[in-house]
Amino acid sequence: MSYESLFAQIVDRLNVGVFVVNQDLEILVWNRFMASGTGRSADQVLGKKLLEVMPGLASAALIRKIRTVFRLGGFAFSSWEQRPYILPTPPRRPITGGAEHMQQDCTFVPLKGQGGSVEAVCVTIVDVTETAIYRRKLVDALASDELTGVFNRRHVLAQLEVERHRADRYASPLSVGMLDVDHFKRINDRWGHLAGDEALRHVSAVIRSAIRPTDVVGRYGGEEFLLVFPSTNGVGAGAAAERLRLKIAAEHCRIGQEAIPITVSIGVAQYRANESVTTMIGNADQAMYASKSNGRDRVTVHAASASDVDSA
Amino acid sequence: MSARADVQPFSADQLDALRELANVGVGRAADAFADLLNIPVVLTVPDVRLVEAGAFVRQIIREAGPENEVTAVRQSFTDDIEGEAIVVYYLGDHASLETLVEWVAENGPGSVEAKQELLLEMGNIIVGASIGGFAEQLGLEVSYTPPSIMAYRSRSGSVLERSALPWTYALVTKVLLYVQDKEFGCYLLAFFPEQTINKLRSGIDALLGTA
Repeated sequence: MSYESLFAQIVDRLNVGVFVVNQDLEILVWNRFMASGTGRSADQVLGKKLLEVMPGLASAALIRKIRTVFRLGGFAFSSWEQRPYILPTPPRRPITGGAEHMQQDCTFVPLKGQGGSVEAVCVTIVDVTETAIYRRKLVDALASDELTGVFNRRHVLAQLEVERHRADRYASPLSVGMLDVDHFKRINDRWGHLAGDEALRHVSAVIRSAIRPTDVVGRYGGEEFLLVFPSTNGVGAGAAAERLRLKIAAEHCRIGQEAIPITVSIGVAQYRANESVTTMIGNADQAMYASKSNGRDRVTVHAASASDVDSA
Repeated sequence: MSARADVQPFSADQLDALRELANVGVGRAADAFADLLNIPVVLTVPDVRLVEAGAFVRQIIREAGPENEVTAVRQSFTDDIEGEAIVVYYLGDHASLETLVEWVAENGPGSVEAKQELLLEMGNIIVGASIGGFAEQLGLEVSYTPPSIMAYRSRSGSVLERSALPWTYALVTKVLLYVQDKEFGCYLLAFFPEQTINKLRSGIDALLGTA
C-alpha cells in the first residue's frame, strides 16, 4: 500500500472532522466525519465552493477564520467555550438533556505549497460535546446549594461582589436582603428534619418564582437566604421584599398530609459607595433582626437606606 | 528562558533585530485585525525587551492598580520555536485611560463569550504574527496550540500574580494598536526554553551576517 493510500484512508476514517479548502473556498478534502455530520458526501462536495454546498450553515466566523490563515499564514482556532460550534452538526451520541448540536473545538491549519505560500487551509473539527456537558454540570453543581437548588453561599457572595463593582462603575444603586425563615427550629422539632428540608425547598421555590429576572438569591446559612437587588435602591428593595414576604405567607408548604404556613423575616439595606460586602450584609442582617424583634413575618429596611432619595 | 539568572540570552543588536522582525510580522497583521473589528487598524511594535518575568508581571500589576482589571490570553507554540506566550491587554505606561478590553466591551459583540472570542482571536493574531514572523524570516517552523483565556477582567493581582511563570526571563514585545482615533496597547510576553533561544540567536546572526 502506498503512503498516499495509507494517509488517504487515515484522514477519511479519523474520528475528527477534516476538510480542506483552497483560496476560492473550493473543497479539496472532505472526510467521512464531515459527510455524516452534514449529510453531504465527498462526491457531492469535492470541487464545489463551501458557501454553495452549505448555504446558511457556513457562518461569517468560519469564513473569517479561514481568510485569516490565508492572509497571515498562521493558525486560527475556535473553541466551544466561546463559540459552541463552527458548523452546525447534530450530536453524535443522543444523550438525554444533552446539547442540541455537536460542541466543537476547531483548528485552522495553513497548508503550504512549494514556494512557501499558503495554498490551502485544513479545518479540523473535534467533537467535545461530552466535555461541554460535564463542564456545564460541574459549573452548575459548584454554584448550587444541593438541597434547595438556589445558589450556594460562595456563589451568591461572588455575584454580590460583581454587582458591587458594577454599581461603583456605573453609579447605579444596589441593595441586599437577608431573609430568615421564622420558627424554623419549631418546624424541625415538630415534623422532623426531613420536613425542615422540605420547608427550605418550598421557600426557595417561592422566592425563585417571585423575584425579578435580574435579582439573585442564594442560601447564605441554614435557614437564611441572601437576596441581591441590582439597580434598586433601599425603598425599591423593601417593596420587592414585601411582595416576597406576602407570597411566602400565602403559599403553605405541603408536608405529608398537612399544609404548614411559613413566614419569613426580611431585612433590606442599600449599598453605600465604598462600603464592603461585609458591611452591606451586616446592615441587612441588623434590619432582619429588627424584623424578628418586632414580631416576625415582616420586612425592615435599614434606617439609612429608607431615608435615601431615589436615584434609580 | 532557562532558570539561570546570569545568562543574558540576547544582545542589544539581536534585540533590535527581533524588534524589526516583530514590526514586519505584526504590521502585516493589521488587515486581519481590521477584518475582526470591521474598522481600519494600524499596528506597530515600538519595543522588544528582555525582562525578568516575575518582576515585570509585578510591575504590570502595580501600575494597573488593585481596582483595575487585567485581561490576559495565553497560547503555546512548538516545533523549531517552542514556548508559551501571554498577551496582557494592558499597558501600564500608556496614556489612554481606556484599555482595548473596555473598548471591546463597549463596542464589540454582545455576549461575554463573543467578547472573549474576539480577545482570543486578537491574541492569536498577535502571537502568530510576532512569533510566526520570527519563524518565517529565520527559516524556522512553528505550530500553535489553541489560545485560552488566562484572566478576563480580573482584579489585577489575582490571576497573573498567582500563576507560575514558566521561566525566569521573557521576551516582551510591546504592541500598539491604533483604532479609530484611539491608541491602545498590549504586552506580549514570550517564554522560550534554551534550545529555542539558541536557534533564534543563530538565525538572527545569520540574518545580520554576524554568524
